[in-house]
Amino acid sequence: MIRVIVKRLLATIPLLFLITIGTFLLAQAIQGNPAQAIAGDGATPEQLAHVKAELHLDDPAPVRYVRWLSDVVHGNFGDSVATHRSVSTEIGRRWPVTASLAIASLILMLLIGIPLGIVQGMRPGSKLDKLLLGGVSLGLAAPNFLLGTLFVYVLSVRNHVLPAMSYVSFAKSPTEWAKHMLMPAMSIALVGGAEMARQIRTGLVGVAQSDYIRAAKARGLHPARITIKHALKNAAMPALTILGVRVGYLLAGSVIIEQIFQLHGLGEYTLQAIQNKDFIVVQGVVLALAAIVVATSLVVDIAYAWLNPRVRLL
Amino acid sequence: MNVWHRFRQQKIAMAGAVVIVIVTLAGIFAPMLAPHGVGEMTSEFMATFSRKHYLGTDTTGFDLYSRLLFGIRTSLLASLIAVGLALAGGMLLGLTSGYIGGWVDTVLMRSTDAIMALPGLLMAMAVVGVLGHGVINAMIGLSVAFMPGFARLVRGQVLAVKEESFVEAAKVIGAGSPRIIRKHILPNIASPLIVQTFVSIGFALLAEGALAYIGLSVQPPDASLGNLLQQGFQFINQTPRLMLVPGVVIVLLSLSFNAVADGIRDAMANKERIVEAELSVGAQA
Repeated sequence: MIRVIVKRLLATIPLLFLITIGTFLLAQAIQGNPAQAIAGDGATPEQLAHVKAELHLDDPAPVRYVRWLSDVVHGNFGDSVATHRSVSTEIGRRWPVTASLAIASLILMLLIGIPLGIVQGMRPGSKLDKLLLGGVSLGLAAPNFLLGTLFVYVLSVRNHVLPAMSYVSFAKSPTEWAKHMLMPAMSIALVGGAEMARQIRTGLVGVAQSDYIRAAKARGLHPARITIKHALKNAAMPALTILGVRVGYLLAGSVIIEQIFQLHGLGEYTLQAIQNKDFIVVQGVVLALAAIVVATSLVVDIAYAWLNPRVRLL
Repeated sequence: MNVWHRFRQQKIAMAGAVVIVIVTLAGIFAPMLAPHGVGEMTSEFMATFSRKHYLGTDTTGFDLYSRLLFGIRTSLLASLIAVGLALAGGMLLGLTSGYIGGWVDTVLMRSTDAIMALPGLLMAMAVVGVLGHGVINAMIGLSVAFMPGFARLVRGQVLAVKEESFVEAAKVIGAGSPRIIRKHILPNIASPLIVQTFVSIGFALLAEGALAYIGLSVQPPDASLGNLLQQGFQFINQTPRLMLVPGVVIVLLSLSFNAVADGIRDAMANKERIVEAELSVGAQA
């Protein structure tokens, strides 16, 4: 088990390295004329030169890359070109919103996906299964921004059941937090839940053919007990791998959902930075988001190896 | 053909195919079918369904039916461009990686890992940041996000087929690499590629919608399904119609592409080795 963890950790290092190079190149391509942007349109050539010298913009790219990397390793992502605010501080201020959204979506996704998948997988081909399959296909085809806007229309505009905007921190009031998070999180979770239900259903149908399930049936165990105690362990494996990929989708989804519900999270920050061509922010946020995805898939892989001893032999 | 026969027996997949054909035709002939131009204002504002304006008009006086047709045209074309570029690029990368192997393979595959670490939609947004706003740039961005998925699929298939005895035999009789790739490898990897292509088009439609929704793709007064939705959302208090109509179309289309992909997968499942075309398309909005 330790060997698996070490191996997986070692494989992450070159990946992170490649990601920093990619992020740096991307930001270089975005920047346009950053000195002009920082100094303002009416800047004199002296001011421009001053800004350039301050940011070391005249150094060759590899030198700037190494300097940036060493800053990043020390937790310094630089200051925004547009607002002059520290990117690290801004990320620190915004991440609770995006993390709340991601965690709430993840929980809802599991709450939707697992029961649906089990119900379908227990009686594949039944009327209920077919009905739910239709629902799952619909969930997979519905874009999250459409779901989000529909929720706003039905639950806020027409019926005033839930608040449509803003964010209340969990520490302040857990119930208000949940109220504010429910619609945005649900918009993201329905798609993920549908995918999870599909995975678990397929998994259960596959496992149902195996000998140990037939043996359990022959011993007269209750079908629900067989499914939940015996079959689900193996059937959930593919769903677990999907979970890693899903975190990436959650983050991407947050860009749009934060826009609809006016949440001031990392997604909004990314979008603003791209619109303003704020390359320092883009560099920082993109790297942070990619690192989160890499870290999650690391955790998922290790969990996978822990749950599934066969993987450890590879 | 056997596969076609089996495909035709699946009602849902056939229904999806019919929807795709009808909507595509509507998109192709949009300039002829639309009573008004895409940016043409009529004298009526916020009109509801009528003979004159089948789907009514919006606050600016645009005819929604006309804009929907043009929106479908733009969205479909954009998705095809994104997936076409991703397919071409992914095939090139996957074939190179799988066929040559060695350090080339290592470098290419680690690079796809790095690209995949960034969620597809964010990748597309970043590329738009570099190239500027607009539907073509958004689609180039999307194709970058889709490419690793195709590349990995092709590479996996090439690795599997490469060891087959018929490829060995072709080598023995002196066939060159281009011939082996064309005659032996490509036909064998076609089916999962077709499935992935259809699934990706479905995703691309949604992703284009998402990008248009946040203002990075099609710019008004041009229309795409996503930007119609976004404009409809602004007037959701007055009338949900402006949002619901494009919403229904986008869901129906994406549903149809998924259904056809499933249908093709099932139709080919018996005949050929079906390798998981389960997708890492990554751009699900």
